[in-house]
Amino acid sequence: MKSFKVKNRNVILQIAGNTYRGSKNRNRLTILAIALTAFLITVVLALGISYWETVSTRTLYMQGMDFDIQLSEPREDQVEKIRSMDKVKYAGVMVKCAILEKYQDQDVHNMRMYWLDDTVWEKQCIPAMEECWGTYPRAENEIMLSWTALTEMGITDPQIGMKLPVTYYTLKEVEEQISLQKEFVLSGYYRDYSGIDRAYVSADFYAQTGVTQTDFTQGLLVITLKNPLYSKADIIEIQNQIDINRQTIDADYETISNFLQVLAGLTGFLFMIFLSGYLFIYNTLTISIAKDIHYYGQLKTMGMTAGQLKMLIYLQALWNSALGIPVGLLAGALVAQKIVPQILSIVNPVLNAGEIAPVQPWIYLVAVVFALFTNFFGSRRPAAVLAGCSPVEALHYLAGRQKIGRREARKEKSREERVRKEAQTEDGEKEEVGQRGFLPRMAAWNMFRDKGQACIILLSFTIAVTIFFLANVVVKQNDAKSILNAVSTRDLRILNETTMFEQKDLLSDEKIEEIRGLEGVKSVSAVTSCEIVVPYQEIYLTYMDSLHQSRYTPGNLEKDLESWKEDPEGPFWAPRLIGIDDIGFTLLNERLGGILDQERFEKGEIAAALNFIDLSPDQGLVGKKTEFYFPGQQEKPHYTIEIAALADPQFCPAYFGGGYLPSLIVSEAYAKQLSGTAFTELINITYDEAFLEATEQSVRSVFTGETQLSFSSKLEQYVDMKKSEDQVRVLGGSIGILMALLAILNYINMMAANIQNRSLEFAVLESIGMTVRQQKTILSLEGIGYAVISCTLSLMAGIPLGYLIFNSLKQYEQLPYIIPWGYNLLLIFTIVLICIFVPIVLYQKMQRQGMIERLKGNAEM
Amino acid sequence: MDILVTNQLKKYYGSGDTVVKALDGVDLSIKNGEFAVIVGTSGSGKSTLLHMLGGLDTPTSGTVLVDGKDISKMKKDELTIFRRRKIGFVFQNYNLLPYMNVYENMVLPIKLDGVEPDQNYISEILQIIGLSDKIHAMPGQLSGGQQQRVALARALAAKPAIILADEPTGNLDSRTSMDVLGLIKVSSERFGQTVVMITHNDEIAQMAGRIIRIEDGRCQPGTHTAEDEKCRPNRLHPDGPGTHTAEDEKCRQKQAVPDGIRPAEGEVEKA
Ligand SMILES: Nc1ncnc2c1ncn2[C@@H]1O[C@H](COP(=O)(O)OP(=O)(O)OP(=O)(O)O)[C@@H](O)[C@H]1O
Ligand SMILES: [Mg+2]
Repeated sequence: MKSFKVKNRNVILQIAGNTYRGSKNRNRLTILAIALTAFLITVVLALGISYWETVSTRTLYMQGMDFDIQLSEPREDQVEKIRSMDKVKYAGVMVKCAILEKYQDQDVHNMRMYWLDDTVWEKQCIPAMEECWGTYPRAENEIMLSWTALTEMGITDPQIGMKLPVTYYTLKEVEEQISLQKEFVLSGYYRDYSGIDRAYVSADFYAQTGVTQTDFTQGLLVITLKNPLYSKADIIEIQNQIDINRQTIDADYETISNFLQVLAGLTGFLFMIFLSGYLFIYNTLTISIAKDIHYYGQLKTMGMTAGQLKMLIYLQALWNSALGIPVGLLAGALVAQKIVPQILSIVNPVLNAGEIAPVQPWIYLVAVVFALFTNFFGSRRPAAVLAGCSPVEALHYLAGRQKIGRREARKEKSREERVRKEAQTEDGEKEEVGQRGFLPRMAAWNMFRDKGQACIILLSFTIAVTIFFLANVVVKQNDAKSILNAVSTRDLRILNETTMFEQKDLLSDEKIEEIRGLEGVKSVSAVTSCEIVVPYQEIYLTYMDSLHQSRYTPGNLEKDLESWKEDPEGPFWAPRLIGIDDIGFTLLNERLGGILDQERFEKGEIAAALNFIDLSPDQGLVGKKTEFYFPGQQEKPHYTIEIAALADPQFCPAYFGGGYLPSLIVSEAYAKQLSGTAFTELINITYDEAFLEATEQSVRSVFTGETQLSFSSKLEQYVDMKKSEDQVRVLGGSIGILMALLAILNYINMMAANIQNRSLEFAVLESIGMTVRQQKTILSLEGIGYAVISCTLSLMAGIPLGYLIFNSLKQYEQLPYIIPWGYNLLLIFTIVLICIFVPIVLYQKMQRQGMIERLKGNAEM
Repeated sequence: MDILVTNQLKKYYGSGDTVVKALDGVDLSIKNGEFAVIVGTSGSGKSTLLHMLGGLDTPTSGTVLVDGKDISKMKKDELTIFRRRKIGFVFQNYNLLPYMNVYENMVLPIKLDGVEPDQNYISEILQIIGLSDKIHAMPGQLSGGQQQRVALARALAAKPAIILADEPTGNLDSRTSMDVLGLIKVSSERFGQTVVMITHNDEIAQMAGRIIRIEDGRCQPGTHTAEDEKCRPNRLHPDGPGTHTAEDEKCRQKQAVPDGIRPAEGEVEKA
């Protein structure tokens, strides 16, 4: 008995071997499909995961610190309480205790000096540093600097232990700020991507400054939670336990929804890749199912059992997998290990190839399991069909028509009659006239003859084009130029850094005129500003009340109102008077919806008040008149002006802010008229041609050597943004192209199998008078049909989906949703061409044998 | 006028020691309107010859002239169009399109030519071969003999000038064979068609105007009698249908036409 079984198995093995050898062409296609799928999954996963990891590390480096929430001015008891909470992983204190003004004679633009406790330094800072040299300051005169700070100081070759003579002042609240001199020793320096200039100092130095962690705006408790996905409720829970007074908790309440969005996007994307891969293998396996079933049916008539047949089928699947999977993995590994890091570092020069996260082995496992699963699942179909029918039925089996029941037959009949009637009424005199209707009808029928095949082709193309479309929406959304153009109208802003203190007239009228005269400069718009005093007035009560109810509460309302009445010139309250010119007015009025009357504004009859924070735009101020005067001129007559609008803080034309009371925006002419001269805080320059390097150079050369001006340039921003734009472009592009490639390969593969299968049919058609041209016409019509349907479907899905994605990724309100037609039309055009020509080329390659040969079915199965 | 002429027609398969000479120099001419049968043992090269005559296969050497034209000189598509207009071919293994029903199979060559099929004629053919009720059936739902008849119906539907049939009665009982044969006869007479038919059935062979014997890829000489010679169908109606002479009529009666070859008019309508 046993020996019989063994023998039996040998026979199956033999038959399987013969069958396998006999269907070389098809096996080649299947192996290719399996290899390609394994390859693509490996590459896409590797690319995606390395990119994800690399980018999240980089985001951390850019933040400069690894934390979830921050509490301002923490009291010791609060620190204790928060550290003991279950939710909290780490909580460390950092205090801004001094401001570094100068290194030797070099102005360093108010660099902040912090003291960090061990928790912040070890758990929250170090992980977010790309590299760190030396140690945290221990001795009183030791200092640590960020790379950006070193650059700012003009130090390009830092040496640990080098002496750094600096000028600084402490943030201890005193009447008068006193600049101090000190020689620090560099104990260490670090590099991250935050671009923030920072100095870290020792505990001893911090103690000396006298600043405490509860000083307003100086101290911070930096908290890392155990679960980085926290909700607003979590924060409120923490807040309720620690008795907050005038403090703010800074947290991102959208972490969960952001995470879910990313997760959903990623899952959807992976799903599509897996689906495409699945369709790819599955279709290759099932496309010639009719032939298989015919063949297996024959074996069944010869007495092969269902079990033996299954064995036969799975053995072949196994051999295909054994050949295809290793090839795919090998190619995938090669690309993932060698080429992906290269691509990523080309895309993003900041990342060097070594930094990119290595491919994890589980990716290969996923690819193997997936390819195996699909292969066996696809192979199951002939087995399942065979199990359900008799040998004779198997011999008569036709793909797509296996279930001609009575009802279907009747449908068939009425369809035929309809076609016939149509045909009868048609005028068939001329060859073309007759053909014009006939061939397309035949093509349409062929397209959907095998519903599964049609579905797979349509689905894979639709998915690919949709993904390509979506990738392009995202790429377009990240287009640095269009973002910058949408976000800001100016090309260069020059800010006078002395505005708040020394008030040097660095942006004099002569300089402005000089810039106006430069070639390539379209316009220069100046913003003037000065401090004003607004005495206590009842019209501000609603505003003050709202302000005190906000998270930015300055303190107790009653007390604050008292102190305002007493000392309206105090730094807490005094707002600024901002003067704008025509260009500035046009911009502001545009943003305010055109509610300002230009003539009255020019004359100084009306002003726009500036909300300190995002309070609702009225606060009982609009339409009211306010009094104000210049500091120290309390005795002189006060000025009055009507507030015509309350503008949002982001509409502020000036850079420096004033106290809690709303600043007033008036016309430059009026400001000048009041104070005699007006101090120019900043100028905005637009060029004839945006992003033009030459113009930028000539403007900057006007101020050569001037250190107290700072430049904020669209061109520079563009250079920075270009990096991330390029990343998105290459990533999005390569994903889109990969998908398109997959769909095209899928199509080629499917069509190859299809034409191979139809080879007898083509021979028969030719023998009864269908010309090669007609056959090709039908094939290309089928291709066009697939292309047109899937591209239409993908646009129907892509346009609204793109809109959703666009909105969920939206960072700049001003950027409109633009359908990325360009590349998509190109892709659609390519797909149409491929759909037309692939079947024709395949037909030519595969139908070379003589007609009689093909009719005899010598063509291998 | 000779409608089919071959000169030293050769078809070799393979090469060297294993060469198979399926046709080895066939010289043949078939006159317009002739009814010829090809006989010979299995593997003697009959199908190969018929394929060559129909332009379905390319000879190793030699020429085939159809209606005076050397078909080997035609371009592929030109030949295909020529064939679908001039030649109706019945394959030994039918070659029906499995996913088209009987009607669709029949009219396909006509539609490919951009012409509307003659519905009445098609119904008539279907009636004669007794498949009127199978018009919507798929080939897979038909018996072997039924499929064979559909293949013949398809060859006749376009009213071609030449009918080449490879054992059109191979799967049929004698009565149905006679019906089918009758159809071919009627058709050929009505439209002046030339018929070349392969058969293994002596009785059927004897009914033909001419018998061509093939052995080992060669035409055997002297394969038909003087009487056969006299009664060649082309002599019966040299100018096409409707021009029968009295002599034709006599010859035809001599040909021992069995009952049922030519259905009576009434029968046709009844069927
Ligand atoms: N593709 C081929 N390759 C090799 N030999 C072939 C091929 N096709 C036909 N033959 C050989 O050519 C010879 C003639 O074949 P053909 O089909 O013409 O025979 P036949 O007379 O029609 O036989 P039957 O009566 O059995 O149909 C045979 O010996 C056959 O083996
Ligand atoms: Mg034969």
